[in-house]
Amino acid sequence: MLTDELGGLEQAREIAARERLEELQALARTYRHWSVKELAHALGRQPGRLVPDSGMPKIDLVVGLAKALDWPVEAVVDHLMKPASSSRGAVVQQDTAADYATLYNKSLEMRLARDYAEAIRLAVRAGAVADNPTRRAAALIIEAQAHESMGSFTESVRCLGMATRFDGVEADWRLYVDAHLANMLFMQGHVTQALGVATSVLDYGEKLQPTVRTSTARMLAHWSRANVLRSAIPSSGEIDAWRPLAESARSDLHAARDLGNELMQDVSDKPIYFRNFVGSIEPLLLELDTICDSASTEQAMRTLIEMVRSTSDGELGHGQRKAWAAVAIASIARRFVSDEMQRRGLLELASAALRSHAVATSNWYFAHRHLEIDAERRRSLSGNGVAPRALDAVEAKLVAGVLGQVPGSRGDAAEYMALYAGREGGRP
Amino acid sequence: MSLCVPADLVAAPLMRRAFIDSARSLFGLAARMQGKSWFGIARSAEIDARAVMSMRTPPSIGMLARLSGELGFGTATTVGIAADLAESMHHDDRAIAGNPALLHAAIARADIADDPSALSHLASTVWNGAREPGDLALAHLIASRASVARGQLGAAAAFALQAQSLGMADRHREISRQLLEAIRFESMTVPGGPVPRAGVDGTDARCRSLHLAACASGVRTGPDRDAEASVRSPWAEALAERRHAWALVESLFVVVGSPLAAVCRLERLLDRIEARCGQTPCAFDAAAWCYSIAAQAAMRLLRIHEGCSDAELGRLSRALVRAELALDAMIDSVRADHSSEDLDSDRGVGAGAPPVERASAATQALLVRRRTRVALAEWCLRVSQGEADECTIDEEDHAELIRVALHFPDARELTGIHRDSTKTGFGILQQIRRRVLDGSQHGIAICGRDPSPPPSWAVAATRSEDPC
Repeated sequence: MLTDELGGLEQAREIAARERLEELQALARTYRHWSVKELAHALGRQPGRLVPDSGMPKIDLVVGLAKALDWPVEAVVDHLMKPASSSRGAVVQQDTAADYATLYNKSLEMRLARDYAEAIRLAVRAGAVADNPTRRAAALIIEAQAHESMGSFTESVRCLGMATRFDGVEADWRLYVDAHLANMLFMQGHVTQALGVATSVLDYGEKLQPTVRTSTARMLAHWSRANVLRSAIPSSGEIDAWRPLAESARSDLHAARDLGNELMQDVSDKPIYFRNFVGSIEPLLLELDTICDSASTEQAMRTLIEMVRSTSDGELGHGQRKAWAAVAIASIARRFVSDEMQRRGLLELASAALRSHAVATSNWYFAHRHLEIDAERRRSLSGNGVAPRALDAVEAKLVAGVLGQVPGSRGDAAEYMALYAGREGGRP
Repeated sequence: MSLCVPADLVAAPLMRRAFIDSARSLFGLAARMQGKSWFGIARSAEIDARAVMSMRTPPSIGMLARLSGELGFGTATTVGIAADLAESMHHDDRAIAGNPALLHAAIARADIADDPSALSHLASTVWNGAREPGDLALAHLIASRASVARGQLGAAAAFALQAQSLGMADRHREISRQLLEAIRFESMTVPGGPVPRAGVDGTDARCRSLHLAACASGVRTGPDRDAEASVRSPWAEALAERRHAWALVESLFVVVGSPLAAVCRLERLLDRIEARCGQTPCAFDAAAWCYSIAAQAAMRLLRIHEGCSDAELGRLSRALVRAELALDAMIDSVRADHSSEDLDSDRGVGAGAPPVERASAATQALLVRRRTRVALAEWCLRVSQGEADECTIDEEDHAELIRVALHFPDARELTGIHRDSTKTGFGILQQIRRRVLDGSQHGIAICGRDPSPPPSWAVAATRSEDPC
């Protein structure tokens, strides 16, 4: 009996998958104005074999379809694999609109208690009973923040993207959504979009009456824009031309710090978030100072090394500050330290700090920075005829996490696989 | 067989090899993550390890779905990584980023092909390989051009203004000029775009800022005979013709004259295109641009000169239909050409017609894109004149609206009639979005790789209280 039931389910799944594949192929044909024969040729198939019996196409067909539609591959796969009905509605039947505030606040509490899975569940339930667009957007923001905290950047961006598509969200909440989105896009490596969104927030934020929310949004937008500009400055070559950009990034960081300090006073009962935030700004300011005034390089490096070597007494946000200091050390070392041994030592120090923070917090931005530094080290080792060290489980998780959560890193995916995982094949 | 469709979509054997290699690499990565052997990971993922080891064809997404559980991702992310990994094994964009001549050629080609995906990809390539701040400005200009190609004027304006604030580099002067020209003139003719006459056609602040950004960027746009003479790219002819058409269309809007004079000039433009069309392969591209520009201009004029005589309106409508029919005929001829070529190829006859008469795959895509842009403008016109009704939409209209929705993610917003969507054919646009992607878990914008363009601040500037 059970076997028959499972067989029936499998058959229904195959039928649904075939239908969806046919639907996407029909859309591709309409989009491109192609005949079946033309579509088949573009996808490298016989016209009669465009849809496999199982409904599960091979990856080359999926990628070809995504290209034919000009869609991301992920969007095509999501459409092919999505369940027949949304499972979200089923779990929230017992909640009502009156429960929104309780669910929302509980979700925040769970996140502070680092129970991220429960925080997400509560945020989803709050979103399901929200009775206006602003409440729905607010629930998605806390869901996004919980996803970010547990290292799921793609889910976080998905939630924020959904929140931006609601019509009728209050302006200050919309600003807050966009500011978060700008920061997440930066961490994912979508820098042009991050810069565009952050600039829009800042342009519009000036027109709104300052509140804790609008000020937080502006603080985040300044931070994101500064980070995009800072990270655009190359780590080698002539630096003079980049000075105006560094100055611009520095003034953004100053603005973010001033707003953060004001907010710490405004919310004096719970200033932890803003205190951590302001603490993370200082190392990046030191990095930018070295570009604007190279005479400050030595002092900046000393201060940053102290930051990285300092120990905390369970102070919240200390690890994040150390990680940003490590990012700054790596940048300064690459730009200004000419002695090879000294440079390598500084990069090792930065890499170790980034790795430990990334492993502890599943922060894939820092993991990506660690992999970049480590890849440089491995390249130099293999140049000396020394075999790079074998990939351990922790490092394998970092590589997988970075490739999965930071799409901007995938341009270097082949190199990472070659350096770490003993990739098959290679560039022709 | 040599059908004129992009052969690089997936079919190349090297690419298939790359898909196999990328799947194996991910398999190896999962094994390292779990501290298991290949057989161990295969057992827990319920995959036949021997099938992975001796894989000769790319894996199915079913297999990658099972592997995704071991990697700790969703299926979409795993397939995305495998696809990008295969792409990065197969192509190296750094070669393009490091060579200005190659880079400028690629940008010019993507611009003339009106290809938003290629432009977005180039924008990130230029950003990642930036060697001076001017490179970042170019990346933003390319992103702006991509947004214009998708009809997203708000995003285009934000990117163009960002490019302006970063400052253009001298070494990118020519290509920047070409991009700015396209951004400026395309935004002028797109529905909802700025019309440089006060009080006409409801200009929008974002579109005006885009127009200003293009004008104020210090890069001169519009016809430039010296520059035209110096251009020796394969697209020079298409660029020159496109420039000519835009200049003429701009003069139709800016110069105060009688509707009759505007109609006459538009008809002369159409005569000129017809005379030149089909002479060379590039003339196809030029004609695709010029006919679509003329058709959109005709629709703009129909809205601007609502008070003109029936005779003038009739001539304008005829000019519009003439441009649309010409585009349709070109699409049909390209497709018929491919079919006969295919037959010839099947019979072993050879390549068929000489290459000058053939259109490339990019030209076919360009023709469809430009025709769809005209269709969008026409639907806007029909809706504004109350001629679009859900009941009167036939199968062909339906297909056209689907194409519009796929090419232009903000089609409903561009028309400015989205509040009324249930009463018009544009309700279909909403249905398509909901049916195809909005219901999916991924939540990426319907078209293109940009996760999110800069926001359009259409919301009321009111302060709200805590949602609780």
